[in-house]
Amino acid sequence: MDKPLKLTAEQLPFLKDFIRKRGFVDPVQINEILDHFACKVEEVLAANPKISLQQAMYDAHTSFGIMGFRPIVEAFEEGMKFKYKSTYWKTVKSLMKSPKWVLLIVLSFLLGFQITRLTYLHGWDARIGIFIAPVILWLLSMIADVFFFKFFNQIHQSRFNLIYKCSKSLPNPDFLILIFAINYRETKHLILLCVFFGLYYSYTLIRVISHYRTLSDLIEDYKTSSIL
Amino acid sequence: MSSKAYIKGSLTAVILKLLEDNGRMYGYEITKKVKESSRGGMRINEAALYPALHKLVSEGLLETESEIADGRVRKYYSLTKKGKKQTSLEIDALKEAIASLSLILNPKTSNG
Repeated sequence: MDKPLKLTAEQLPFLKDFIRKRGFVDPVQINEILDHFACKVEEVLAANPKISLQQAMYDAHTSFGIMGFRPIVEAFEEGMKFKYKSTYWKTVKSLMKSPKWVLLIVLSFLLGFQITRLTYLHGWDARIGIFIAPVILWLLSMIADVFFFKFFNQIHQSRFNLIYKCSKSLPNPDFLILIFAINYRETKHLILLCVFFGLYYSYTLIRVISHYRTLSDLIEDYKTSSIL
Repeated sequence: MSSKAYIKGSLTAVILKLLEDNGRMYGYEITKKVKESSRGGMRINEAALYPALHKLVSEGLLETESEIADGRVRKYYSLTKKGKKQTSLEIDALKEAIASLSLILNPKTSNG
C-alpha cells in the first residue's frame, strides 16, 4: 500500500475553493467535507505523485461517486437537525422540571390570569381586555425575533433556516388566539378565560426560552467551528 | 441482488465492531480499515457511511469529538456506553444470521 502523502497548509485553501465551487459555501459544511476529501487527495497523490494537485482533486472527487460531497453534507444536516431539536425539547423538559423555571412559569401564568381578570372586571370592552394578553405576547415574541435576526449575518443562511425550523418545534398558537379574542365578546366563564390566558403566557415563555437555548447551541457550534 | 446489498445490511454491525476494536476512528479511516480488513472484498462509500454514522450518533450509540489533525478539522467517532452494549448484540445477531444462511447454503457440510 502506498504511504499517504500529507497535504501542506498552503494546499488546503485550494481544496476549500474546490469544495466551494461545488456549492458548499457554509464554513461548517466545508469543515465537514474537508478532512475526508483531503485524505482522498493524499491517497491519489501517493498512488501517483506526478499528477498535479488540481488533477488529484478531480480524481478524488470522482471517487465520491455521482452524488459527490452531497451525501456527507446531507447526513451532517440531518445530524444537526436532530441535535438542535433535542436541545429544544430538552430545554422544554428542563423548564417543566426545574423548580426555578416552574416558579417563573407560575408567575407568567399569574400575570396572564391577572391581566385578563383585571381588564375584564374594570368594565372595559371585553375585546380590549382579551386582546391585551395576546398583544403583550406578540410584542415579546417580536422582540425575541429581532434579537434572533441580529445573528443572521453571523451564520450562513442555510444553517439559519435549519435552526429556525428546529427551534420553533412547539406550534405558535398566536393566530388562533386572535380569532378567539375577536369572537369572544362576552363571557360568563371569567375564571376559565383567565386560566386560558395564564396558560398561554407560560406556554409562550417556554417557547421563547427554548428557542434561545437552541440558538445559543448553534452560535456555539459556529464559534467552535471557527476556532478549530 | 449484489453483494453490496448484503454488505449494506451489515454496515451498522461493521462500524460498531471496528470502533470497539480501535477505540476511536474518523470517517476516512473507517472506509480504509473496512477495505483492508476484508482484503478489498468489502468497500463502504461515503454515501452509505456518513448517514449510518449520523444515525448511530442520533441513536446515542456513538459520540463525536473534533480536533485539528494535519491542519484541518477531523471528527472522531467512538462508542458510548449504550453503543458498547449494542455492539455485542449487533454482532451476535449478524453471526446468527450468517450461521443460519450457512445451514441453507451448505446443507451437507452443516449436517456433517
